Amino acid sequence: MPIFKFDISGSRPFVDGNGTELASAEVAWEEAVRLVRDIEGFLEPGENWMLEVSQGDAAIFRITVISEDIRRT
Amino acid sequence: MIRRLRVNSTISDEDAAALRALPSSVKQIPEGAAFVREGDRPTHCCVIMNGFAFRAKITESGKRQILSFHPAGDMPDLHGLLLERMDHDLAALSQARVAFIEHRHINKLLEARPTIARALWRETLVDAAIFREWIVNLGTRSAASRMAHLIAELRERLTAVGLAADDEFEFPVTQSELAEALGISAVHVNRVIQSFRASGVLDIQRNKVTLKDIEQLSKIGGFNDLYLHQQ
Repeated sequence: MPIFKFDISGSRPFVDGNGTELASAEVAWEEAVRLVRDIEGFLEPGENWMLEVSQGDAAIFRITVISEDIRRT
Repeated sequence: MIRRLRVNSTISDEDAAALRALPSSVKQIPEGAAFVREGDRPTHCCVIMNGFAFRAKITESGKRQILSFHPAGDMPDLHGLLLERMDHDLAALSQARVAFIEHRHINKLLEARPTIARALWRETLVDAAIFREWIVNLGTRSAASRMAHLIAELRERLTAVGLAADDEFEFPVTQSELAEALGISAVHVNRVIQSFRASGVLDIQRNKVTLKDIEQLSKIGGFNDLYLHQQ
């Protein structure tokens, strides 16, 4: 099975060292969506982060979350 | 199993001897293999002799939810004695030795020894209390708290039967199985373990949990052992 890496950049970065073995890119997408759900619980106003899913050296999916605190702007 | 029952109930030496005399057949179950399946009509109850078992259900979309973990001494399909069909799977987490006892032998024992009947009844009640706690855990807590709660619970249950040292215990679980038990993504399980390791709370390496700050672990998990009803 191919190995997928799920790297997160932004306010709380995470480098996925070993990656995860998954059946296909479709399964990796489902995992990405679940991961977004898990980390959105930590999101604070004004924070941004990006999840990049890569297979081998190539990025295959990207999910970006941008939040704004309108009170400050 | 007797040590396990004594955690929740008072078992006399006579009752313990009657339990020991129950005829059983012991099987070696390979890692990951299901030994009772949803839909089965069980004729035996099982006792985990060593290793770990878990209960699981597979949804219509093929996702698996792990419902509970069972160390040595547990009897995870006691309800099969009274409910005709299994409503979930029972499988070995690691290679496990499992003893199977025919229902008719247990029924005979229950008729002769009401104390044992009460003890087994109590077992199923505590079992249900643990499920209630898991609903609260999965429904209300963050991923890190869920994991902390699970580890604190296992430590408490394993300590009660003498299977945990002060600061470590065997738990042959993979990150994807933890993800299936906690309802979070496997990648996030990895992140949570890394952050616990970095903050000096605990570490989970293949098959072993090392506890570095138990007080902090219970605090993060909101763990209160009341629901385990240990005596």
